[in-house]
Amino acid sequence: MFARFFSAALLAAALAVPALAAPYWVAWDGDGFPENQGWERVYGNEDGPHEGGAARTIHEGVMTIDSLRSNQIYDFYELDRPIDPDPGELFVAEWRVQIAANEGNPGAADSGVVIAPDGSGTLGLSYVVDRIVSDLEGWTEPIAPFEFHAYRIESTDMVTYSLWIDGIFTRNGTWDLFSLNTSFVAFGDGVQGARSFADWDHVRFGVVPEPASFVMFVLATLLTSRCRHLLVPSQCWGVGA
Amino acid sequence: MKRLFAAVSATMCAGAALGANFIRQWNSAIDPSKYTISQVQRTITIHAGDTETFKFEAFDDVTGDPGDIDAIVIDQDGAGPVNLMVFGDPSAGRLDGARHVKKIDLSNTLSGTLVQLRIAGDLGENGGALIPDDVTGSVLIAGDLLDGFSATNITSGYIVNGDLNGRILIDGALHNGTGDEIEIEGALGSPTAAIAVNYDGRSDSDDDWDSGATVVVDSTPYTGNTPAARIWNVSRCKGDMNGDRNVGSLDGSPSSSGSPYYVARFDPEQCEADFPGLEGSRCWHGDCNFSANPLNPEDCGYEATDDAAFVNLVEHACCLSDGQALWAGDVDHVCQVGLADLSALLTNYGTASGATRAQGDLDGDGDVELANLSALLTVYGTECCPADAPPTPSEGDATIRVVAFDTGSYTTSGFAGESTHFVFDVLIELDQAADDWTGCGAAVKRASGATFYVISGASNPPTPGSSQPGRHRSFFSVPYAVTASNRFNAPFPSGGIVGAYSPLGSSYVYSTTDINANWYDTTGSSNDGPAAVLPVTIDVSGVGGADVSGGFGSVYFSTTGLIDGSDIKVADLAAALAHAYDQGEPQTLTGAFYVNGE
Repeated sequence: MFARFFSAALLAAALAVPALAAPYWVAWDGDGFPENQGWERVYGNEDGPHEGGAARTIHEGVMTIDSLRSNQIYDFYELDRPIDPDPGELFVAEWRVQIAANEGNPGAADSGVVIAPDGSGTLGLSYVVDRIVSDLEGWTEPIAPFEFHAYRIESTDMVTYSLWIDGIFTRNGTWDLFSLNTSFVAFGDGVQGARSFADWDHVRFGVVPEPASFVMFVLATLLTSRCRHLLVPSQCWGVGA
Repeated sequence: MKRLFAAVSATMCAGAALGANFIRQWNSAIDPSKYTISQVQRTITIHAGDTETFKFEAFDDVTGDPGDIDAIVIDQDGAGPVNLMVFGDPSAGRLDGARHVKKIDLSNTLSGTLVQLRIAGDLGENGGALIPDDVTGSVLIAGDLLDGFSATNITSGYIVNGDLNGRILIDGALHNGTGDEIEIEGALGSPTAAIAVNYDGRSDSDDDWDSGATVVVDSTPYTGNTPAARIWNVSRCKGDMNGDRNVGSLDGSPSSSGSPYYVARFDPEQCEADFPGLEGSRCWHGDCNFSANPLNPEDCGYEATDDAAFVNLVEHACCLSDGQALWAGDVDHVCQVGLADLSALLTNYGTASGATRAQGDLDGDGDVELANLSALLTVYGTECCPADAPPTPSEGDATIRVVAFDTGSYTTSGFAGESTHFVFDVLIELDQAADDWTGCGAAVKRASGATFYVISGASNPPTPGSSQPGRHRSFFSVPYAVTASNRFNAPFPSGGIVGAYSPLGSSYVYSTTDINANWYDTTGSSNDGPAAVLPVTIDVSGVGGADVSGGFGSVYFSTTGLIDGSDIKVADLAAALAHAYDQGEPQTLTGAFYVNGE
């Protein structure tokens, strides 16, 4: 009873944040294939689009994408929707992933996350086993290999962003704004020319009130985390808004 | 909650139906290890090359529509030059290729050079192509160069850091973006190097070198067509064989071997050597009679009949740009406006919709009516257009009005002026002496039992007798003074009647109850105003309640309705005047004739 009351109060409080566009929160928590939860699966191999794709499994809330069979396999998940925050709001994206293998053409990183804001632009972060690379900015950051790491991006203007890895602030960066990409978030194996083995635990993104209401966000995140145990995660607060 | 779930389901369905952007390299000779494609970021990285030709295309993986490529990065390490083609696969029916390539980035090239870059779509704004080394081949952009070739430092200009030994050929426009649009730090390093805008010479959309757009070669800025430097803003002119944006004797002759026209027609390779950068417009400029099959790229269209058409163009310093912006009245594309054009139009006069230019629809609105006829007559008899464009006619005002003509002194058997018969003249006036009346339309419909006094058994045209009062019958003429004898004896020295004015029709009407016609003049008349083109004689003897006791003035014309509530409408009039300087639709006049009531 208390939990139900608490959740209702939280939802009411979140919706009561004044003068802001409706916040939203999209969460995929590894409890089903993303294409069954509102994401578009984009896949193919050397024979063309909609052919083959990676070997995939889901086990204990983690989806494994295995494209080691061929460099030409790609298999990623894209959710198209307006993603930008309004003034007074904060865009947040967070994901947790482990890269067990990456091979292929020189410098080619197979798995990653792409965030394209509404005004067009690309932030492409991709992985080899021991590094995260910003493909368009050119920076790399080392990561401990063969381990899960949690990543978090925050931005108020979708021009600059801040990155945390495992809860530690790592760096600031900027979107490549001269891009054709617009209004989507994607993750998975998006590259032909490399192969990989990756475990994805969750990918979440959304717009929340800025730090003045940050407590609300934290509470909302907690509530969202609860939702991963529900049969239909989209029944969590704000999904698909 | 159920609603939220429904929203998510809808998103899923939409995503599945739209398809995804897909990029592929389709030259099977290329080892896949030499390039990487990020389908999710829409980028391509080329790792190595050895004068190999990479052929990329992008399309929607469901619909097959052209897609996008966000960036192509040449990331070689010690390998040789690269041919880069962003290009559709003809065998797959995707001729348009990528619709948009945002950026070509060769900044990481260590030793390679770009041999050839071909882009079927646009090369994007704020991105452009970053070419730090020599361009040895050609750069062909079928669409527009939206903002230029990007430099290492985008604020400093758009640079090819070395020599341009090949060609930059832009099929679209060169827009005025940020800084210099193209900068070649070196020189045009070979005799065949060139830069061309509107490469194919056709007037597709707004293909042109925009004002302010600048190409810099070896520190020299160029802001437009400069043949001596092999920097071309290719004209749209048929017959402009030497790229100077004019048509004249310098373009050669069909009988002079070695002249530009002759070489273009008979020796394409020599033409390319003589005019590097103009090879893409060679066929278009020489196909002076528009005979090439636009659906067959191999059909250059050159044939013997082009020779005469070319000579005609040169003789008149004439530039025909394309099939849509032709010399106004040239229906049949032979650089002359004459009887054949007029005949074609008159044959189809009255067509209300679906007409083609060849049928006389010169303004493209689907019908063939007075405006088309006027447009043709404005240039009737001319053989060609002035240089560079169809002429823009001067503007001039014209008026069309109705005045009453007092015939009270003419009363004979069958005619009783100002008691039974009332005569009105439709007069025209042009305020420019050089202007020319080209046509008139009028529709008069009786009302209240009135009739029109017409010529019995009239032929086409209805020619009245020259003696009084026969000359006061209703008829049509070209402009004359209202009492000029030749107005009655020879109403149409040059011209004729064609169809009905309102409603539009292919046959004119001439009866005691309806008069409805268009008529025209094919020569520049010296009697263009003030002069009469139509007398309307109204017989009100059959109008009940009419009061004509006042004689002249008992019947009047008004554009604003009757003057007195007891007055009776006896006819409606709609008329139009077409003239050479009308710059648009004909002048029109509508109103009605009324007789005083008892």
